[in-house]
Amino acid sequence: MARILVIDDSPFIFKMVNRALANTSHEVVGHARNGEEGLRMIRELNPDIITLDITMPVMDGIQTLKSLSENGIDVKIIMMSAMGDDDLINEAKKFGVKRFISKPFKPDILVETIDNILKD
Amino acid sequence: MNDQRMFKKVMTTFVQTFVDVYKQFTDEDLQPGGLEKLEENSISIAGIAVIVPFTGKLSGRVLLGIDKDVALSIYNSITGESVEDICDDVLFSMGEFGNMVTGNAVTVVNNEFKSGIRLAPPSVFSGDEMNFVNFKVNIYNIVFKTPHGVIRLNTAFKEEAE
Repeated sequence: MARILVIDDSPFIFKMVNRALANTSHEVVGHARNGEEGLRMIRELNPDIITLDITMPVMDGIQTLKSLSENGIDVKIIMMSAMGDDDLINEAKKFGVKRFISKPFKPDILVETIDNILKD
Repeated sequence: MNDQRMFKKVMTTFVQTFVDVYKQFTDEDLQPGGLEKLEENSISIAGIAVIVPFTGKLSGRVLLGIDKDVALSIYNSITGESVEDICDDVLFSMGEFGNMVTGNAVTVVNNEFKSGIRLAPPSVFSGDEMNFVNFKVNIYNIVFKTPHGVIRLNTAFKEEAE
């Protein structure tokens, strides 16, 4: 079982992640609408996994990865974005990200990715 | 856009990703209409408008004009709900729909042309008669007919880039 924080400016994605995980053992513990809010909620909620969007206001996904690294925050990360070009993927990999989900996503892909990242 | 190969790739990619994302949302197939270049700089939309700006080697914006019934159909299809009128949840879902179409298309274009295009978060508007006026852009329009109504995919590129 994993406690998951969704960092995504879209309430619709939060809703869809909740729906995808409704009948699993995993728990969605919160929703942050940008990276800045996400960093605060990671400290408060101590999730096992975050799903992280790239295009967000205030602090985007790549800036969030940088801030997580600079602050020594250790959390498993699933990048979940409609954008996924080689440059962005490589940038995210520099910060140790190994799991990527392209939007739109199928619920079983999300569950499978969570199950796999827990084994890493 | 000086590079006609890039322009053709951008437009065909936008159309294909639109069809693909719509299919994943609704499980329905779409037939796109033809591409037309708009001569006037004003666009009128009734229903929902989603704007996704982009910058990079190409800059401009995508504007989706979505009939209310189409928006409700897409939302109810993906959520399994039976919402009958436009509400914030429907608007947020349409914003994400526009973000996915644009993001998926830009990913393909960036990988092929190393164009470094980046998106801004989408803005969503609803109303019975919305007018959008554009300056110094070249505007291209494609109409998609769905069983529930019409969606217009309207892309505008900065004139300097053409």
